[in-house]
This record gives sequence, structure tokens and C-alpha cells, in this order.
Amino acid sequence: MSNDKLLDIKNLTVQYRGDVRTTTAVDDVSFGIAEGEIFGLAGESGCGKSTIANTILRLLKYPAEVAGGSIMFNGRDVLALNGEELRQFRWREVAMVFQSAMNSLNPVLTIGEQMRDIFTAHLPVTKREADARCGELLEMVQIDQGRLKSFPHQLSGGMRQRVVIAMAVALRPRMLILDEPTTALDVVVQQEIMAEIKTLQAELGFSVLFITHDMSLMVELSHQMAVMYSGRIVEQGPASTLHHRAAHLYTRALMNAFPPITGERVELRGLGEGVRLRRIDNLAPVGPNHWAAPISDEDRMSLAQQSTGAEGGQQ
Amino acid sequence: MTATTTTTATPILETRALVKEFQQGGFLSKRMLRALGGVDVSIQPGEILALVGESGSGKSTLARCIARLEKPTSGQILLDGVDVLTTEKGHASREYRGRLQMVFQDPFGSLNPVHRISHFLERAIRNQERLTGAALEERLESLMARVDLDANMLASYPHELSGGQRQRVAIARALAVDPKVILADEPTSMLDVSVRIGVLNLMRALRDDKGIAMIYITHDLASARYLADRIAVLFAGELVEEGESLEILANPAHPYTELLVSAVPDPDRAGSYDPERRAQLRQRVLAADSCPFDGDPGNPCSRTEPVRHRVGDAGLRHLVRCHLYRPATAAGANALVPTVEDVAS
Repeated sequence: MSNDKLLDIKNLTVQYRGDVRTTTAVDDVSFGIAEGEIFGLAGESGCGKSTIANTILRLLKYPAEVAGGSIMFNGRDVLALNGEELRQFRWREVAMVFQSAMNSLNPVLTIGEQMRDIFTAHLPVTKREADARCGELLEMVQIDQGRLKSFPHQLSGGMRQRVVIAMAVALRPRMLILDEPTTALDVVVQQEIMAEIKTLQAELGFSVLFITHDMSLMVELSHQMAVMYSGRIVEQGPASTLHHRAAHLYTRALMNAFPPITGERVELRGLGEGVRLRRIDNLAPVGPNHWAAPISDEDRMSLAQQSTGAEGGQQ
Repeated sequence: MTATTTTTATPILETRALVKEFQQGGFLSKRMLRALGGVDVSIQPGEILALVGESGSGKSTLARCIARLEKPTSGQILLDGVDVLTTEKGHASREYRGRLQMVFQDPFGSLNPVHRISHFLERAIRNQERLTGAALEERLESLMARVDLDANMLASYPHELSGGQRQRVAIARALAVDPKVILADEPTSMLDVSVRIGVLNLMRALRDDKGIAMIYITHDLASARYLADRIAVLFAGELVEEGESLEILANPAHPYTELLVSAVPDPDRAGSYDPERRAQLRQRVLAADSCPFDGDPGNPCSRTEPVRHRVGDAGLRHLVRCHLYRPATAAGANALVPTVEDVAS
């Protein structure tokens, strides 16, 4: 991929090393995110999507180890950043909203105290200036300024999520990583939060790496997306293309795992338990800007049995 | 795909004006919170009813009351036409448990990690009948086969199983006593996406083969539509609308149902979120000025009584609570939702 990408990940391999065996959580993964683009990374639990997010922010801890590949952000090698550079990079360049972000707030500090920390730690501002900016931030995510004095337990789940998002965009980062930002919320709040993120994105123009297993949500929000399976990307392309013309059986199975809210009621078959892809080859182009991993014959046989039901039902 | 039951025989399970109030604050506190405000639901044998609503709408409280894990403040629970709250005061009888079973949300928390899978199933069977030796073995194996698990897994511990497999064990445990009704409280929300459909399909197969009635509690409308014959929508501890699944989601008659339907992510109607419309709907949920069913013969609109209007054909069993009804007025200080004046301020 060309170097007009803001984030460019090439052949990244991350391993969790144990005494007896080593697990490769991310296996030779490459993708890029352009400026202002929303990139969706889909996959089930354990496929390595959160490991990628943690690698980008250099949050990996022993026994995880980057075994190969590179991560370039805005022309800089992220994997080579050291102490102070890394501190500057985190939150200012790339910020992250963690999974179950609602619980990432400190219960014994007020919202205002926690938000103020971001400014005083990263910028040369006084306490008063910081407080003023915290107020503005809260208003940006439609929360009353008076809430700065509240403790996290006094806010609803949706409000806490908004606070966490406001904190993530506080320093106007160029990229935001959202790791399952709405998993713990119910549908109505989820939709409002996603709309909030879209508005902020349009306003501030940051790129987004959006991680989720909810395909409907991902297709609705993302421009580009990639589907991961056991550490490998199995398909990558524009979200609408993957939604309508998914090339890989696994992508189709994942898309079929969500019943639709309109139309005929048809019998669906998810990807059954115990069905495993044995080998995933490198991505090959299947259309303009659209890549998919070729499927080995043995995998084709076992997967075909699973997905015929779903395809048959839709006719 | 499924033949929906349209009979009006005796319901297998029915609640009448079920109320549950929780005490708030300290031991001597008189402050009460009305989590269920007079809920009437009924379910026919072999029917799947989905209870949907946002967090805090009272779905789980209703399920826990029916499962007798909570004691309702007032109201009736009828199983096969018998009011169990008067015949079995205190706690549920073994017989009641034999006819009604519950499957919980978290398959990681609902199976004791120190026991083998066979233990959970054996205990459930022994509670109801004496089975030993080969007969017990046979029953265990048939239960495992019924939930599509390998009989070898009987000797496994819960941590050796995936989330989906564990939830199947929880379902097998519920089936062990041959129940008439299964209450499933968000059985798929903690599972991986690709195995969710499998669990829903299993639940439907159990209904089709054994005629077990199910109450499926969820906030995922798409899965409710997929599995359930009928959907009942709860808001602030009260039923606002119920009807055949496809009908109610295609033609929601209450603003709250409309709100829920519009919030479901669907790539085919991307960009459908409209904050102004959302605010209007919210306003109408709490304080509607008019009711589209005004002039319903026999069911005049009311602000204080939860009048239910019929929507469309009687066969659709589609009922909606009068839009004008203000739950806050009826529940007084114990209300779960703020009064209109509170909202305005």
C-alpha cells in the first residue's frame, strides 16, 4: 500500500510466548488507515483484534512480544519510540476507548478531576484553563458542565461512555481506537453513542480504528473493513462490498450470524462450533480494492456444509 | 418457517397484575421503587414469547419473579391455571421447579467450576426422580445428544468447554427435569457471535420437538424477531405493546417500540438516525398529548388507567397501551420514570 496512509501496518506478527508453547495471536497482518477514514476490524473473541489495538499503542506486556513487522504512524516507526517519545505519542497522536470503557473511570475521583489530568499531564496549562476545557469537552458530547463534579457512579452507562469518548478526543488526536465501544450498552444508547462518534469524527477529522464483532454496526459505520480469523486477515475491502459481495466463506458466515430486522424470517446458520479453518493463505485480490484469502480445499469442504443452510434459506 | 400458535387455550403460564417493589435506602427506609407495575403476560403451551426493553425496564425482574427467585409484592402467577403464589407461599415447590426452569445469561457463572458436567445433569435429574446405573447413563447421554454435545464431554469440567458449549450444558440441565416452560434470560448475549444463532436454533428445535413454552428475554430485537412467535415490550416496568413478532416490529404502534426498532443497527438503512425524531419519540413515550387510537369503541383513552387498544386484526393479537397513559401518575412517588415536570426542568 502507498505511503499516503496515516497508519501503516506491515506484516505484523505478535506472539504470546510461554514455556511450553507459543501462541501467535497476530500472524503477518498488513493494513493501512488513511487520514479521516473509519476502518473496521471485525472478528470473534480471541481472533487477535484487541492485540492489534494494544500493539499500536505499545501497551503489550510480557509474555506478548512483537515477533516481526512494522507499524508506521504518520511516517514514524511506532515500534521504535522510546520513553518520552512514546508518552507524547500516546493520547496526543492516538487515543483509545477501551472495551468496557464505562469501568475505566476511577470511582473515587470526580469526572472533572480525571479529565483535568489529561490536560495538565500533556499541555502547559493551568488548572483553571484545564477545567474550562473539560467543560467544553463535556458539552461537545452533550453532557451538562455541572456533571464535572459528579462521580462515575452517579452517571448512567451511556453518560460514562460519553465521558470516556470526550476524554479520548481531548487532545485532538489524529487517530482514535475504539475497542468494542458499545458492547455493554443497550441498542438505543448504542445508536446514540455511534452517532456521537460520527459527529465528532466529521467535526475533528480524526481517523478511526473500530473494533467490534457486531457486523451490522460495523458495516453501518465503517468505510473500509477487514475480517480477522485466528490472527489472520481473511478478507479486506470497502464495508459495502463486504456486506453485499463477501468473498470469503467466513465473512459470509459472520454476516449471516445476525438475523435481520426486516424482510422474511429465514432460518440462519451461524458458523458452527468445532468448525475450524485449518490454513489461511495470504490475501489475493478478488476485485477493485478488495482482497480475500483463498480457501484451502479441506476448509472449503467443512465450511460449505455449514453455510449451505444459510444460503439456501435466503433464496 | 414456523407455524405460529393462534389457539386461545388455557395459557401454560400467566401473570396477572404482577407488582414488584424494591426497598431503597437503609433497613428502615420507606422509599420504594416500583420495578414492575402490574404486568399481565400470558404464554400458550409451545409458544415462544420474547420480552424486550432497555436496561432497567424490568425484563429480568419479571423473569426472576416468575422463577420465584424474587417474591412479588402483589399479583398472581398462574401455572396451568393455578395461582402458585397462594398455593405455595414462601418459596417454590419442587414440583413447580420441575415444570419451570431457567437458563441464565452468564454460562461462566452458572456452572460450578469444581464439578464435572455429568454432576450438573445428574443433580437435576435426581431432584425429580430416582435413576441409577445404566438408566441414568442413558438419560445423561440422551440429554447431551439433545443439545448437540458429545457424550464424552460429561466427564469434562466447565473450563474445558467454550461459552457456547457451556450454555448448551445449562440448557441440558434445564431440560433434565422435562419442564413445560423455560425462562431464558439473555442466553446469547455473552456468547461469541458465530455460536449465538446455534443456541437460538436449539431453543426453537426444543419448542418444535417437545412443545416447551419459552420466555426469551433480550434487548436484541433482531434475535427476538428471529426466535419468538410473540414479542412483549416492557418500558419502566410496564407492558406497552405486544403482538406477533413480525407484525409488531413492522408496525410498531407505541412510540417506545418505535424507538427500539429505529435503534437496531441495519446496514440496509444506514444513516437512519435522526436526533430530532429521537427526541420527539422520547417526549411522546413520557408525555404524549394525543393517542392515535382515540375513539376506540369500548376502550376509551385514559391517563390514569393502562387501557389497551387493539391494533389491526384480532388474529395478530397486537395490543398497545394507550399513549395518553402516564405511568408516573399511577405509581406516584414510587415511579421508575420521572414525572413530566421533572423531565421539563
